[in-house]
Amino acid sequence: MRPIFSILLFSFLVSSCRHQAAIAKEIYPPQVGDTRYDAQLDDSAFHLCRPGFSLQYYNTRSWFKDHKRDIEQYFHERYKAPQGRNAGKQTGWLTIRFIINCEGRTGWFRLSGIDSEYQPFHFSQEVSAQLLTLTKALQGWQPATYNNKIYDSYQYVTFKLKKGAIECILP
Amino acid sequence: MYSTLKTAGLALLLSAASLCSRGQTNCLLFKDSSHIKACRLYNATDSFPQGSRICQQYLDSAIRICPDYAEAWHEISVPYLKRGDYRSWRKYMDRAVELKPLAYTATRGWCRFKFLRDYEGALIDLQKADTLSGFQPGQSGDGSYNLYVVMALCERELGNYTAAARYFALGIDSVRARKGKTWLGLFDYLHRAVMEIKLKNYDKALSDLDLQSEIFDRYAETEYYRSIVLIATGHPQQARVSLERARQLFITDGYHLSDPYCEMLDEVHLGDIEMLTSPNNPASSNLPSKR
Repeated sequence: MRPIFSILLFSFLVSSCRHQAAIAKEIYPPQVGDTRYDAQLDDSAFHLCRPGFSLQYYNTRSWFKDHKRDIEQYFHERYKAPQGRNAGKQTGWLTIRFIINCEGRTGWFRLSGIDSEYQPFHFSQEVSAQLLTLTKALQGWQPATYNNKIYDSYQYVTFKLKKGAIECILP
Repeated sequence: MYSTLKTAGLALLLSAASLCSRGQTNCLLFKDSSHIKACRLYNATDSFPQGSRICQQYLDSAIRICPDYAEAWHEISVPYLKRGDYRSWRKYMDRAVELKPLAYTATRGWCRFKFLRDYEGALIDLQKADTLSGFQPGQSGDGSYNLYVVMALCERELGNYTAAARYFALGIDSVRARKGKTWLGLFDYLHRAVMEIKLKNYDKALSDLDLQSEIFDRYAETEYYRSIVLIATGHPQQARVSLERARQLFITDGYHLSDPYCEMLDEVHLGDIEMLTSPNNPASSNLPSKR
């Protein structure tokens, strides 16, 4: 009887551990902030040079940081802040996260917004679609380099918005 | 296989900079077993790359074992902040603040200031931390600033210059008087000088820039802002010299305000220096031509 009980207990523990591991895998991606390819959203021609291994912008010298003044000018010159009644509600932070691949191309753009209380917030199409289009169209990105080798890397641009107008661009 | 190993090696190397650099907690100080277990899991994350699945899983386990363990709530929040997921960051960080307000209210305020430029929100947290700490709010998360200077910067950015001057006095003058100048932050005088420039108090700005040079005289920013004062006060020849020095410091020596995660307040880019000398810039019309 005892060996059978031990085997059953062992099997239960193994399957329980596997189940827990599967749950944890669901909750936590390989790295916080990882993006998965989505055929509905993403350009199928965009590719990663090292799938499953992308740096963060702060791991190496960041093209964004080095060219921030140009980037700010780019958005300030092109972005048209919404007017009218609905503009007043467009306050908070809109973040666009994406990958710069080893060729300096950008893809896998994801949007997220929070209001001034840090609660999830959907900015109007007029704001979010416009900023997404402008971010996608921004040219000149350089890939992350480390030890003379180039890598895919994650970058994000956050727009701090007040009544639909860009107050500042982060990080 | 070789390339996988190389990639893994690189991942380890790069992530070394992101490993949790906090000190190890002495888990035996806790009396109950759940705190001890959670503390050990928390300490173990020191050897994992920050934000990796295994690191987050360990911290998650620590929280499940001991939901009151504020350190784990704080640590699990950090990669979300660095990667622009502010909602998730706040969710975890707020729990750390609830559990240990004295330890984490100031940290949250500092992060709101630095990563989000949420000056109103940062001030609320920092003022609360000031009260909780018995008016000894301490230093910013990265150790660069006395938190009174951060409060001064928040007020300055909100346009409340009187309040900003009061906090600058607490974070700079009082600290210098009580402890000496070695206790000052590396950029404190520079930040105050920028406020004085905004207020057109050019004598005070120059005085602070001189004091900044006493602390460290090789920041491009000091020379850049000095040139702005010199242009405004009708000293174009000296302004040109300062601008050239700023350019040299930026290009050759590489000393300028910089942070791996965010642009710092009052940080100057090479383009800013060049813009000031550009013929298209009205301010540059006061500058003598470069020889």
